[in-house]
Amino acid sequence: MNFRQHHQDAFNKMETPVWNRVSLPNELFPKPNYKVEASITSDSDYVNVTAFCDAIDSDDSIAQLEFTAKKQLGPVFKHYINGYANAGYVVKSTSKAFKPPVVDIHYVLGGETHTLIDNHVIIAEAGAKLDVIIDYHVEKSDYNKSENTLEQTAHYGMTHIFAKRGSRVRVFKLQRLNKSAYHFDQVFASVEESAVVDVFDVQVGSQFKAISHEFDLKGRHSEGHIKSIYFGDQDSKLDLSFTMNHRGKKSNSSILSKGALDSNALKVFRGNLFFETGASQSVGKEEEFVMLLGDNIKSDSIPALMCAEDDVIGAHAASVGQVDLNKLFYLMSRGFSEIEAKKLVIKASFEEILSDVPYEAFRVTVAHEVDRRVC
Amino acid sequence: MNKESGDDMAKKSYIEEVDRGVYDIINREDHKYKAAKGLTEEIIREISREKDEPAWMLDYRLKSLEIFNAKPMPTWGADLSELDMDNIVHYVRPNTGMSTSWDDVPDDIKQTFDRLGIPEAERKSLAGVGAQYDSEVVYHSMRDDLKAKGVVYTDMDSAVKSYEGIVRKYFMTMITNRDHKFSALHGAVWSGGSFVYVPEGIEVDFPLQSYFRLNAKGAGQFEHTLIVVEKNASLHFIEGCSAPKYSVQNLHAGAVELFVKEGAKLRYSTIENWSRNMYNLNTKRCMVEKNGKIEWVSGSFGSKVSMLYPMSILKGEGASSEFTGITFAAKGQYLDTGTKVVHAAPNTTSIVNSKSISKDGGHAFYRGLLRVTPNAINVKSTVNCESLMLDNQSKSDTLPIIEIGNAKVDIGHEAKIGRISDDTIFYLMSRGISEAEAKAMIVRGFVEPITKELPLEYAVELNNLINLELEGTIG
Repeated sequence: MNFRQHHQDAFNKMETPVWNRVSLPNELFPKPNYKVEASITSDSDYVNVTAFCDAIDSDDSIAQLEFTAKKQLGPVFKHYINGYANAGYVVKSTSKAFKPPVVDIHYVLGGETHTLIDNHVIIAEAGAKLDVIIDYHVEKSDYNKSENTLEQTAHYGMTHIFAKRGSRVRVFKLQRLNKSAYHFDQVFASVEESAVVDVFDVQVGSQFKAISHEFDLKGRHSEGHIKSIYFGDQDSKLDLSFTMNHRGKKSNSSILSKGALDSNALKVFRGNLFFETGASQSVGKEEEFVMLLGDNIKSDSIPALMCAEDDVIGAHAASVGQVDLNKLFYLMSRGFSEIEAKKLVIKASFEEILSDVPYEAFRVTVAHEVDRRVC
Repeated sequence: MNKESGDDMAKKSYIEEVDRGVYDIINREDHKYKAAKGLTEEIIREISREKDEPAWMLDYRLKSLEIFNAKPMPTWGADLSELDMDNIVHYVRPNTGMSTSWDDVPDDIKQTFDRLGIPEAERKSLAGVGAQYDSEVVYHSMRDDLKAKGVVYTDMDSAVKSYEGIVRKYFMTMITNRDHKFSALHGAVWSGGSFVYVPEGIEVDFPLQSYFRLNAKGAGQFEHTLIVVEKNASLHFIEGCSAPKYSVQNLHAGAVELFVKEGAKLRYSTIENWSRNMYNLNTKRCMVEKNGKIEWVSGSFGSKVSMLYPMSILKGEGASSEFTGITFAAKGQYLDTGTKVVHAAPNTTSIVNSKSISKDGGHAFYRGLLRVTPNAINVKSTVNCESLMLDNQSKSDTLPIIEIGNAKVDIGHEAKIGRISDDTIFYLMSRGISEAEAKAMIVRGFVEPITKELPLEYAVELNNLINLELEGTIG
């Protein structure tokens, strides 16, 4: 039985899960009969890009790349995405150049394509470097249309990252779908000895977004970093889960999340640091900062530290509070309106993470999206 | 190997069973009545008959038994699969009544409490003492001047009869028999415990202390503590618990209900040193009204399994809570402790400061909840948990859940896990301190913020316990 059929059968035997903290929307898991083409560019000959659907049929090794996750959106999502993917790429890098090669992938939803199910596999061979930018958005012409006139857009995605010995992978994800969209995304990263994986995750669109990123730091000196920015629109729901499994000695991880929530937004943040026996001299830290902008907000934080090894340093910190009124007052006394002042404060808060993004177009897009959405 | 190095090896060897001194001295079982093992309706009726209770209490017990039988065993947290409820004796009445003078307490029981330092502490620094032995309170007394001011400090069984109105108003209203399996069990078989009532405006200047000792093998202790501190009154209540070690399981499923009224203040200190065969599944809750304050000071050292999360419900505007806790998990122990704070009114504040130490394969788990309801604006809260692991056979986890229901809050949270840094030990050793003493100093320094919150004699006891616990590991 082929890969897709196996997962379709498994999916069809399952029931839609029930989530406790953030209830799932109705009418999930459509089965689109079309493929979604992305606009994709690559600036290096040492990077090989193949469509996932082609790669899975021609390369058995891709199908066998399994990842045992402690936390994930759930097996239903895994089987659905594997079984019904209509987009995605396998990106392999052997480039050892000083400047990492860049693969830039844009998915545009709208028109006839309103369901995107993408499956990405990112492989950096030993010592290689690779930057991948994945941007999810709708047609510009849909920006000002009423949500009621748009079809329900939805994205279901899964990205596997395999960072081999001494490699360095950076993935920049930007989700700026329309207000009523659903967005489900999970990243699994397997990090070998001395390899480093960074994931920048920016969530500014969608009414419902559920994110689950998990790193397996299995090699000595392996490193994993997640930097997350989110903006919770009015009435939006966010479920964020970031997990670091420290298995290798002297492994290093960080999770930094900065968010802003507007009126009636609901957010759940789960940060998990696991230190397994043998991961001695490892260091892991997680930090969450939430800025509350409106009324009727619900913000849950569940930072967990699970430690089976004594020779480690694990730390987490969280800070949740209203936007600083003194800052707003100062800016307004300098002639900014309240909304402009709020936008400035939010962008300044996000800047700590965005300043580490080396791609100006990415940073500018995020700033524009904040300007467009904060009101 | 020369003799000197042989001695070093001996010091470094692991001591599996530390001598817990006075805590492990077993008295011969001398009871007036002992219920059969397990839990049946007939046993509940017998307990109620033995206590000569009013009918409403028997009805409550029977209803609780029904709920207990219907509820499944909790599957989250500790592994309770080895807890065999059919092998637990739920009620043991010692062969004595309740006395108000130590002279009237039978010699063997008195010696037990003497060894634990209770009568001496009463003379020196307490305003009143209660002592429970197995299922019943054997001693209760309080200073006469407090009695004259209307302060009530007695055992719960007497309170059910003498202060029925107050007891009916508060008893199991905050911890109900529907909350979880062990609160239902408690509702069915509760026995003993203390009742304290502090009238409006009265400040009790010295602490009251209740000490709970479980001597009977394979028994359960289910004491109920009910404290009502009226408007603008204040109280410091101390609770101590211990039991000798047996090879069979013992169970503790007590309940503590605290009511802190407007402008009142209550400090509730606990040092729990149950033996390593004990399942400590206790429930503690406090309701705090306008501008009232609850302070929890909690030390968990003993028991095989603990699941204990004292809860503060800040119901009135301006109410506050402070939780200071230390957990020490050694070999074979799974101590799942923490605290819950519910901010249910505006301008309420809370501080949580929790520390845990795990060693020799012990598992310390901090599980906390901080909840801010949508109407509770201008809430301020800080949560701080630190865990220290003394070796890599041990485990230490923290899971603090923060649920915020409105935007006008200021919440901060921090947690750290790690071990004693080699650099720090090296520094202290370079100043002529032995490695063992250096480690002990660091551990004492780690728990110092907790010990300074305890009454002096308890701080000394806590330090002794830490020395006792570290005896096997250091060197």
